Amino acid sequence: MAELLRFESLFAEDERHTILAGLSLHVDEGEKVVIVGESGCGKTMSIGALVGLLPDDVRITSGSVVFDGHAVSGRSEDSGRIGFVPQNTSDSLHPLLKVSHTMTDPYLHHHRKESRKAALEKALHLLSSLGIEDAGRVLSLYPWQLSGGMKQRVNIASALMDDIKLLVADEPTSALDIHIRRQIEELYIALAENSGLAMLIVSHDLGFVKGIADRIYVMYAGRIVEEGTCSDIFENPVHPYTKALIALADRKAREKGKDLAEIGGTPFVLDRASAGCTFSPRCSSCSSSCIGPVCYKQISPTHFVRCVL
Amino acid sequence: MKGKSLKIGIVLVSVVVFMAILSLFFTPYDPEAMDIQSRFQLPSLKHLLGTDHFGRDILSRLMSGSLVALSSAFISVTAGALLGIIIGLASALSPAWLGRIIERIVDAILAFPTILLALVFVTIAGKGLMPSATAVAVAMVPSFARLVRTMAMETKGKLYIKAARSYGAGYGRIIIFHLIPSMLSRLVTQFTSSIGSAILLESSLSFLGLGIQPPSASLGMMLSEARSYVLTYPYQAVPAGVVLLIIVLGFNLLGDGISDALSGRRAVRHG
Amino acid sequence: MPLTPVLTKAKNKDMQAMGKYAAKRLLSALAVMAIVSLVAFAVFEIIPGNAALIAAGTEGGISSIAAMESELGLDRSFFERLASYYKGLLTLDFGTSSYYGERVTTLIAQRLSVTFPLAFLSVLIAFSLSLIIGSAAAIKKGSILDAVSRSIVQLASSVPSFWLSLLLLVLFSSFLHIAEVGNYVRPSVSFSGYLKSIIIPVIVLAISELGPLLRLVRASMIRAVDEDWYRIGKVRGVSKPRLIISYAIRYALPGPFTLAGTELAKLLGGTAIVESVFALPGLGRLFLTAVEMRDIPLVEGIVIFVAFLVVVMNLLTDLLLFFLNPSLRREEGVRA
Repeated sequence: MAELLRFESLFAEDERHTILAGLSLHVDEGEKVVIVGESGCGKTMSIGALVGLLPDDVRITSGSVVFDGHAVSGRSEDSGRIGFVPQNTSDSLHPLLKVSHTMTDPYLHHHRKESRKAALEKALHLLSSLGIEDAGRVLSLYPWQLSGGMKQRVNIASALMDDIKLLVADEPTSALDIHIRRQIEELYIALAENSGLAMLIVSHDLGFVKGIADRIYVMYAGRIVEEGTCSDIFENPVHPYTKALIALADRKAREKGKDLAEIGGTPFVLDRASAGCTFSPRCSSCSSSCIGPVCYKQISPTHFVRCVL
Repeated sequence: MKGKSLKIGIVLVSVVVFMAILSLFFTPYDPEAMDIQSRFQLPSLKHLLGTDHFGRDILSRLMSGSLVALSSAFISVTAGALLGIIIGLASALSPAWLGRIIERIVDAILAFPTILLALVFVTIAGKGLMPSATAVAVAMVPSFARLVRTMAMETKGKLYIKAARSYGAGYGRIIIFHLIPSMLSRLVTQFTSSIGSAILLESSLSFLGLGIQPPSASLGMMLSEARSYVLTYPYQAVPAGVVLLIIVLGFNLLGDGISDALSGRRAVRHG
Repeated sequence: MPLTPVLTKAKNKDMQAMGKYAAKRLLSALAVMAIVSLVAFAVFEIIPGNAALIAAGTEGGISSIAAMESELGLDRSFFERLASYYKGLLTLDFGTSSYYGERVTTLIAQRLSVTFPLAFLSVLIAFSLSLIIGSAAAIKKGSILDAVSRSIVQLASSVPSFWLSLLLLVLFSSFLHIAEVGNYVRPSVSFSGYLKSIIIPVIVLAISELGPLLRLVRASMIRAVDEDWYRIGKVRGVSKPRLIISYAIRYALPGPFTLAGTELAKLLGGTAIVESVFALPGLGRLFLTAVEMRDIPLVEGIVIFVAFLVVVMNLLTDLLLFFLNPSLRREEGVRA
């Protein structure tokens, strides 16, 4: 399948820290790809670099992002053919604009010949297809009149308004309560099955990841530590960090409601990228060889890992 | 950008303060000595900034006028700030209903034009340096009262104050050792910018002939006198106005600069 | 479900919330007014020196002082005076000016017709300029334009208005020969003459208002363009004019708008200096004369009037904002 998106050893930093330390990944057309990792590992920043939402104090020092044959700058004015669903959906809707405006404004700007009525019909159709029964009424509401799940749907629908090739979602289910979370997860899974859209999703909800991903990237400290198909990662994890994440998710599933200890050790502070393995301070199987450079090894045609073991 | 306004502010303020203090020991001429032969002179080597309608040396008058402006503003703001701090603390520590009434009154006075407030006071107390300085002090009270009340209400709920209450510290102790120190940085900022507005207000009053009386030099009065001749001798309106602008601008920049510097430091500490 | 009934129902709810909010704000405005008028009364009660003595002048004999005392009601008890003071307020009767010998309300109304256009035009100009410069500066934060706008803020809030008046006076009348100074021309006499006589005062007042307004517009706009919905709208491709006007400015507007309202009310009582420099027969000059002549009823009347204006203007801007900003209605318990 043709390649749609490629991050090529992307480095980014702000005034004090390195944020991305040579991030490389790719998404093919129609492929559903998930990035997994703890909060603060650079997941949101990599999405920011793609859709043009990097914070002002973060700059890309080297590497590139290429989408559909064109380089993306990290602060593009208009990311046209990428649909983006942000992490915090309530802050992403203008408090004084009705849903109808939020949904149709970008579309009308891209399709100057279309009438407002046609745009509204498209919005209405999209909202209904996302399981909103009284879509007409929702269009005439303000964001503060919507529930959390409704806001999420409106955001997804807004992202789908244009003729996009890639849907990017940042933690699509993290801020929702449990039964709405299930609904939204099912929505994404249905969308993945029924549309030919490529998807790039950031999540740390492994249950959801299992259900939707074709391929998974495990990210730690601003770079990928392991990549593989869904079964590569879940059935044959190689990197100690991946193993720890999966074990943690399993424990969580068994002992529901209990607050569990996270992976031992303090999360990294990435000052300047060091040569050795950045996970080694927290790794239970760390040895002296972990201090030296670590290369990206191929385990099977689809399975890669950055670990000396 | 941040350091810039602080630097410019410091330079402007120190130049003016230096000139003002110098006037205590030395001025080129006696600021009140008239010389009818040489009226309305433009700047020359003899009179660096020219002479006014009585032939008085403008530079000398500016120097002693700045001293009056700076010292009276400093005293007025200090007095106004003290009274404002007391009112603010009292309203924060008194029962809620009383505090809210005081707050309402303070807000209402704040919404009032400052010049009107000062003029009301001049009506009561009469013209002259003392009344106008007092009027300026009164005009400074509400903004300090509001600032202190807001800060005290924020701080009151904090844990360490509650802890102090619980081991039996009295109000006096809490105010001196806990409330005031935590407010100090914002008070300093407010104080600095208030000096600028106090000078502006004082000079407005003397411009209207309600402040310090002749023959003493005051920046506002110098401009008020220049006003009568401004169409024939436009230069007369320049020096005092420029000095006034420099003083007020200097203190405003200084206030902003201090505030930026302090908030910057806070941000770093949290980060 | 058909759309119309749902919408009308929502509209009714909105109107209800609006009424509730208006009533609440009106009550609080009345309370403030009551407190302020009480403070004003107290202040003028404690004026040192017998007001009658001042009013009768130093040359007046004992008999004229007594006559004045009874005219000003000083021979009555404190509570009688308080009662008649409030009765006066409620019937909009502020008494008679001791200097002009006319009713205070008449004098205020006359002079307001000069000051109001002056104040309104100045705030309008300052507000529009602030919106344009402040928005541009916030969108291009850190640019030269932003630096210029920050310098304007500092200069405008530091320059003494009377000095600016003198400078512009020289510039416009000696060098450019545009403005007429020193004789106020009524608009009914000659409209162009009127404009010539108010142009410099309007510019001076507008510049002095530019400081606080521009500062606030820039700050609110910087906050707006930093919001998630602005950045996301931008990358989703909302057109630039729409993004700036409907997204950012609309969101940033309430604060500056409220400020403009209160500044207008303040200006109506705060134009004394400019009116005195340009010899405009407005409210500020009237107040100066009243202060100069120690015309207590007039001073008191103007103070109460300006306080009233401030309170009413606050109320109006709040109500307008409530009407324009649907999300405020949520606080009144309306949820779809």
